[in-house]
Amino acid sequence: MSASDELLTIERVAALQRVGMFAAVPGHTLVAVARVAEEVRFGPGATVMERGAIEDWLYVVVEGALRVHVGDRVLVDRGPGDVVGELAVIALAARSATVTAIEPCLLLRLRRKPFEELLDERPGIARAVIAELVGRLQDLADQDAKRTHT
Amino acid sequence: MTTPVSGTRRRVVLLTAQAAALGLVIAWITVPANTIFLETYGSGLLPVTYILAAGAGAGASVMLARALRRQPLAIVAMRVMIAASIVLAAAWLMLWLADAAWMSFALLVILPITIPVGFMFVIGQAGALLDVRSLKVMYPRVIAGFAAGFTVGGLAGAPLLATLGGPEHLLSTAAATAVVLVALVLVTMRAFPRELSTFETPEASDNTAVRPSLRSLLSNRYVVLIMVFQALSALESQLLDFLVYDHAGRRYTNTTDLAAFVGRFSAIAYGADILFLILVAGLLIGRFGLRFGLLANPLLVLTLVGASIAGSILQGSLSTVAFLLVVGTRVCDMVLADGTTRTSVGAAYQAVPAAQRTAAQAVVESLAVPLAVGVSGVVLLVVRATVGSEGLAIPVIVVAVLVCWTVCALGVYRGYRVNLLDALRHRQLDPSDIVIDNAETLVVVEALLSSGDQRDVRLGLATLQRSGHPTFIEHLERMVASPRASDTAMAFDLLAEVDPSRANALAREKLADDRPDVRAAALRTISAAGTGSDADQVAALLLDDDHHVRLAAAGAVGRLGDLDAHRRLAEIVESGSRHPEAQRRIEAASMLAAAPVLAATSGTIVGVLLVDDDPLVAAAALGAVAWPEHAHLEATVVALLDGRVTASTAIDALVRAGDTGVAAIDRCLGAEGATDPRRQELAVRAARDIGTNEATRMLVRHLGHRDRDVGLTIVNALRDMAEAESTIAATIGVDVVSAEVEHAVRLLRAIVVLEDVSCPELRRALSDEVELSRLRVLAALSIQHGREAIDRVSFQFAQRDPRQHAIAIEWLEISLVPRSRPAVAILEPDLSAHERLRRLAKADGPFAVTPAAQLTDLALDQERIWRRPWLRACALLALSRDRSALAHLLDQLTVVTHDDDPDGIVGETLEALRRRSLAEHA
Repeated sequence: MSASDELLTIERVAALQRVGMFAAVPGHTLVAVARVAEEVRFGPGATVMERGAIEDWLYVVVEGALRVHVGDRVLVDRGPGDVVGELAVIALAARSATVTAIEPCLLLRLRRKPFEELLDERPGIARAVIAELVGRLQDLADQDAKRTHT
Repeated sequence: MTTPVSGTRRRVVLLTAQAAALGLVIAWITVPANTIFLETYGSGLLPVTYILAAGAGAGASVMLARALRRQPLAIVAMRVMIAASIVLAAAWLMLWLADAAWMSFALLVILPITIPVGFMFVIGQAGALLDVRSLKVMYPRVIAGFAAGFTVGGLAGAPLLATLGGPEHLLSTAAATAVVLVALVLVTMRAFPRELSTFETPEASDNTAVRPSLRSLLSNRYVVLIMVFQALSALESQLLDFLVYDHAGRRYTNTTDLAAFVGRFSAIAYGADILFLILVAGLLIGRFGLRFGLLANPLLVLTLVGASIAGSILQGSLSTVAFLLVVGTRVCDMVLADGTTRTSVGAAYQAVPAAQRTAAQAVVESLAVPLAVGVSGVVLLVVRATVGSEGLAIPVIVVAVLVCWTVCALGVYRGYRVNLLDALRHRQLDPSDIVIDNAETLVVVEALLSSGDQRDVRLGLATLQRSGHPTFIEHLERMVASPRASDTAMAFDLLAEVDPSRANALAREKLADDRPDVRAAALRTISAAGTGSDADQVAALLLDDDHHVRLAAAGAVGRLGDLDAHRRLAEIVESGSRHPEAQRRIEAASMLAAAPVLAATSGTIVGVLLVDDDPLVAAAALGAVAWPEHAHLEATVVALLDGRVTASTAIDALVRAGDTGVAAIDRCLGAEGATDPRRQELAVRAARDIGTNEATRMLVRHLGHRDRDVGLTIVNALRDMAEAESTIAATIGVDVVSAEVEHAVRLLRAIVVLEDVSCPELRRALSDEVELSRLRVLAALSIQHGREAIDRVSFQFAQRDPRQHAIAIEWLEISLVPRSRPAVAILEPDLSAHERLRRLAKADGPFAVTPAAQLTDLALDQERIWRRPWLRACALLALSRDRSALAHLLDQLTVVTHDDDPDGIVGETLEALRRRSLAEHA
């Protein structure tokens, strides 16, 4: 797909289904999410999020790569199928790290309000989000248990 | 079948080798023990050995059960076999060096115990190493090992005798083979240490499990049934065995002929046994299931014994026909006992709680069977001493035993289904109620009542009320005067239930209370327990400063007031409904909801409030909708299902309408065009909550709804209604399952046909549809079999262990009607599309349809079989990768109606693809 093309809803849905949070949601249910998402493009070096900023959206990476860092300390690199900034949507938290594009990126931006409305109206999406969050909690608990064990 | 547990082949080989070694040991004990015994004591003492075997079996049972509570089965098996090899070696030395013929008597006593105990060791290991479905298919092969060992042992007997010089020397080979058996158990245990290292300590079982003592085992009806089943099987076999030798003894008068007959009989019986076990038994059990496995032996033998009796009557008991029928019956019995009965009993044990399983096997195999052998000895002695064994007495007794056995087999089968479900289910402790039976308990309750936590107060009051405690009303009166308004309100509510006049008297005193919550609670109490004389007093509070008080006053005026009071209330409502502040309009709607007496005259106001711009006003107005007075507002109410704020109150309004609401929901579900599937799903929930027969019939009519997600909601609703009502025919579930199987075949075929086409979005969409089919099947099965059972099946399938899947599949296969059984292939996890399709349609390709034709079919859906615009859109995208095919389709798809594409995804995709196509040309 060329960078100048606008994504079809189906292509947006496919991008969303690569994200853990939406992976189990049927495509036809994700149409509504895909339609409220906005396409955003960033060039290499552009700041996608600033640490401490109060914003109410998350990004799904469709193409390209992002670097999550605090100052010069790199926390993690993110690529297609990853999400950044989801805490702002789910828990109303300030940005905990800065995110910078390290190559040309195509992202889908999901704002808090329409996302919340979708969660209200589509139990399937809400269940998937809860399952993803519970999975993360379990992973953290497992890691903690391993650390305690060792 | 589910993915077998890893290393199944190796497990089966090791178990078969153990069974073969056991067969050799038994054969090499049987020949010398019988020969020396008959030579020394004759056959008259044989029934005595049966009786003594019963006592020895009982002792062995107790010791084995005790040992199995302390150690894993494999360890116990090794120790027992080591002891057996020592005993056999000692017997050999005593017979050889000291000519101690009495040892043959002892060997014949322990021989009937050795076989079931040996089998118990092999069965017990098989139960731990194989899942229930593998067990049913593979177990006959394991048992065939025993028959092969026995046959080889018998055939090798003659050359060994010639080589070794006497029958007693066969005991040395038996002792050596017992050592080999120990080695095989050791190898098996080392190969599968996890599976074979468990044993049943009381600590290992959960709180609800019964300890595997003999008494607790006997308290389990299912275990008792298995025990009786096995005992009757052994009793019948022993009596038939006696009949064979009795007939042979009378027919062959010299020892050489008798020995030749015994040799031929054993060879034929065990040869047929092996062939049946290897070639037929697994297939039969797999095809016809456990019921066949349990019933085949008693029913066929019953038929043959009947024929034998007829042959004896018609031709005489010494005739060749009668003799052949008796021998044939026994051969058939031996073959089926190993091929179907043992296999089925092995599977039946899987439904015994894990904490009891091995101990139950030990008791059944080493107590019930020896007891039955002993009983057969007593019966034979009695018959010989009274009517004689030559007539029809013994065959008639066998018939009686077979009839009891058949009945017992049916009981085991029924118990298997029930107990397998129990095995799927986690048990929970029942919460115990608090009972006030002494002063100490009352102190605890009073502490609850004085707690700052309202939940404690509620629990304390509920406890007093449930126990009918004499201080209950006294406590309530005290609480009415509580400084905490919440306590006062709670006390008023309860007092109005138990002593309305006292509640009303106290409530009147509280109408002037400073606290609005208390005034509102007092008004609610007067509304529930008051009379017309209270009307003026409550009407004065319609203009109270507090919103909640005004609402409570509206309710009380509605119930107790006269026409003038009602008119005054209606004026307040009318004025409020036109108020510019939304909060006042909400209050007006709430007042109408609290005073249903105004329903007949409030239709217009309610109609206006329902379409208010503020959804909170509409939600409040939904509470005021009354039926049939506001029937003209039905469409508005249904439309409010779309709103996030109004959806739940709209459902409530429809539920209040009862069958009038059903008609509205029927129209909503049948509506063509722009109806939002979400609205339809909520309408279905309303129908479920209405729950009348009319609602059920209406939902059944919409089972084939064009939106399959709405269809799933309908099936789920019918499932919930089936739990409350028994009016829904089980065939509904069967029909839905059959339709889903058909649709799943279609979907899977499309996935297989398109597997080489680059269309990940479409493949995912098709997989989502298969998943939807799975959910619909589960919901439909819940209608037939109850939600709890199917929820447990889902739980089992969600586990990673294929053994857990096997239990669920086993339960489904014995519980589903034949028409629904193919659906198991939709439910079973971790299958490829090819494998699922092969099981559903007995074919997984190649198919006549080309990928291009399949894509076109999906994109056009001219026959409306796919019923999913999303699939059509994904197919269009896939086709867009082939320009010529897309151009052709774009011509055909110029118009997409809203009916075909309610959320517009097909039209949107089509438009976008056209734009891309034009851009590329430009």
